[in-house]
Amino acid sequence: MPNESDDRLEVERLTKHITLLEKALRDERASKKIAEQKLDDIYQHRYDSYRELVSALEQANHRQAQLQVLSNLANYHVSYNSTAEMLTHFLQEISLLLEDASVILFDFKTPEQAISYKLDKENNNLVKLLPKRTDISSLYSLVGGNESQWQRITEKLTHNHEISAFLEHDFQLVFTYHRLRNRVNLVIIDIPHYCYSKELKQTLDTAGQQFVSALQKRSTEEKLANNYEKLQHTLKKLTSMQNQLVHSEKMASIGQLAAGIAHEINNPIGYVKSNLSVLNDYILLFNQAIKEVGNHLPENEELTFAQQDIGPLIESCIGGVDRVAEIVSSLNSFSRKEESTELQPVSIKDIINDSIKIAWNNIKYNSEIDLKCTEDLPKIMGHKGELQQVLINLIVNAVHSLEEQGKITIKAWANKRRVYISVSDNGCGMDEKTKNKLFEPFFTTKPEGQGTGLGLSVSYAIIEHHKGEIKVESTQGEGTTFELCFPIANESIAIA
Amino acid sequence: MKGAIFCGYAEFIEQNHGLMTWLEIIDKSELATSSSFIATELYDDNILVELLTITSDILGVTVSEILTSFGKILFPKLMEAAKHHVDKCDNIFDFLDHVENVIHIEVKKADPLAYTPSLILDKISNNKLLLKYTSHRQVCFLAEGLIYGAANHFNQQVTIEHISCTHQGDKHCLMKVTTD
Ligand code: HEM
Repeated sequence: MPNESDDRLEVERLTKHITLLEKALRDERASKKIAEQKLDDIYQHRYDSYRELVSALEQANHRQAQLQVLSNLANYHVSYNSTAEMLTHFLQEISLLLEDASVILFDFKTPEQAISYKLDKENNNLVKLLPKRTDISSLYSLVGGNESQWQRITEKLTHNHEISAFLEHDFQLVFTYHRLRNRVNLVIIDIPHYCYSKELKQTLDTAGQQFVSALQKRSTEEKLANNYEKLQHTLKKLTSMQNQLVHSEKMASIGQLAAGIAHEINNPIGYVKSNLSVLNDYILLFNQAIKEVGNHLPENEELTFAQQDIGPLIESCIGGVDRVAEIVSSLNSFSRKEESTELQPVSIKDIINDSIKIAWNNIKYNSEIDLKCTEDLPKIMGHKGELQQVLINLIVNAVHSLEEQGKITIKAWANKRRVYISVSDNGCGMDEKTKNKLFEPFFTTKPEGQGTGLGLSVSYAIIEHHKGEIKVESTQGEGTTFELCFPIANESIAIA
Repeated sequence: MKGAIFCGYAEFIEQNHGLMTWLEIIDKSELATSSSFIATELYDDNILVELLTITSDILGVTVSEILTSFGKILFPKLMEAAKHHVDKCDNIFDFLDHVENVIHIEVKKADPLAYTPSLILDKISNNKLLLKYTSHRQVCFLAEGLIYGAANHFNQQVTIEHISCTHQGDKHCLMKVTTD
């Protein structure tokens, strides 16, 4: 069958053909590969020489990017005022860097008693996660002593069921640092992965370190500021205490002096006064006698004048002596240390109202009174008459300070321990010198003969006796405010 | 995409399914102009996509399966070209780090038009590693195949688990690589 063998020959020929072609193709491919390899080598060689340059440039770029981030961070660390704000900002930033991962924060002294928070990204604050403290000691021990460093937790946090309920992923990123000397914070970032470039990881690390050092710096600053404030406060207190001491010392010595004077004057005044009234009686006798012998006496003008003048003279002497006696008794009440008057619970509101009524004659012409008492003022332990004396004195002083028309404001209020009363006027005010001498006996700004200068010093003594305080504030041309305060009568004292 | 990948693909098809299959694929392709690619040239990405789709049609396997087995075969060929960069590596994890930080960078230096994926690693433990694959080409299955190939090279056994994948609508392609 020539056809069949022809066919076979044809197939053989074709097969051989194909084999040859395939071999040619392979050869072709092989030489193509060699050519490509050569090309590659050339490229490689050419670029090798650039390599150093390129890597230097890359490093520079890399550094620049880092610096940028760090300087941003540094800026905001400087500009934020509270450490709490700084913390939320830092966590927010880290969460953003890590694709909005959720953030949990623990704050603790001992890890068995940690308070947990969650970062609320929308409102940019930390909210409590668990209502109670939780034990994170096993988690804390996983972190080991590596502070201020981001760390992967490669064990599933199954020990603490409370926390793991809030974690979505298997392997968290953790960061711990000392917030204060004995307070640790542990941050958990719940990330699905930590597949980030070296640069980003580095930036995270540096950001963390920066945050921690900013925090430490801030807390030292805060401590310093706190201490400074405390010192300032103490200084202020000391100064005012010193002033008070000086003042009460002064008042005490003046009191002693006054008591001495009063004592010295009291006796002579006593017999001068009684002698004067005896003298008065004697004069009546003399007058009677003169009248009886009147016609037998020669005309004597001087005698007649003396006879007429003697009555008023004695009268005014008695008046003068009375006044001296009054002053001496005021002095006594000023210097009196142990008060004999008994204190009882009294209503400040009543006392104010009564005082206004009594002083009304002085007030009504040129002043209006504005009275503001809070409701339900507690009672204080006091002596009604004495307290009235104080208030009347203050009101009258206020009236006197007014030029033409003015307003006097009286307020009374209380806190838990004390009742306060203030009497203010919008009068002429006073200068420093006056203010400093205000409570000294015989100091007066009134023209001679018009005031004894004992009003405020006696008031001062009364207030002291009531265990109260008196303060004055005054600005020249604007007015003066006296503020009094008294301890609230407490039940036991009231009964006793 | 680099011609080298196409050359590798041609060899892969030829080795596994014969020259005729390769020629048939090229014949059906509208984008490929020749059955022969030059390794140093750059070709349109769509060509590979088309070749993969045609292959999948002809062989009745999914594109991802093709890519994975292609990666396994492609690896030794790529490795041939990168020999001088990898002398220090003796295990798959170090090597993967090296690919990202040295090999692919060298590829881009040698050909500035080349585009390599970013492979970012997160070594969880000595035998566990997360790898985030990012590339607009989205051929994570090729990467998977390449990793199998690389493990083979270092005489290691690995299992790869696609934790999340952009093809499934996830944000990233995340693979968990575990060595036995
Ligand atoms: C396990 C190791 C490796 C993995 C997982 C890997 C992964 C990949 C992947 C998935 C691509 C495709 C492009 C894309 O996804 O966008 C790619 C491209 C490429 N890889 Fe790798 N690779 C590895 C090792 C290597 C090695 C050893 C070389 C040696 C030089 C290499 C050189 C290249 C080149 C030249 C490209 C093409 C670039 C282009 O198309 O412009 N790779 N690599």
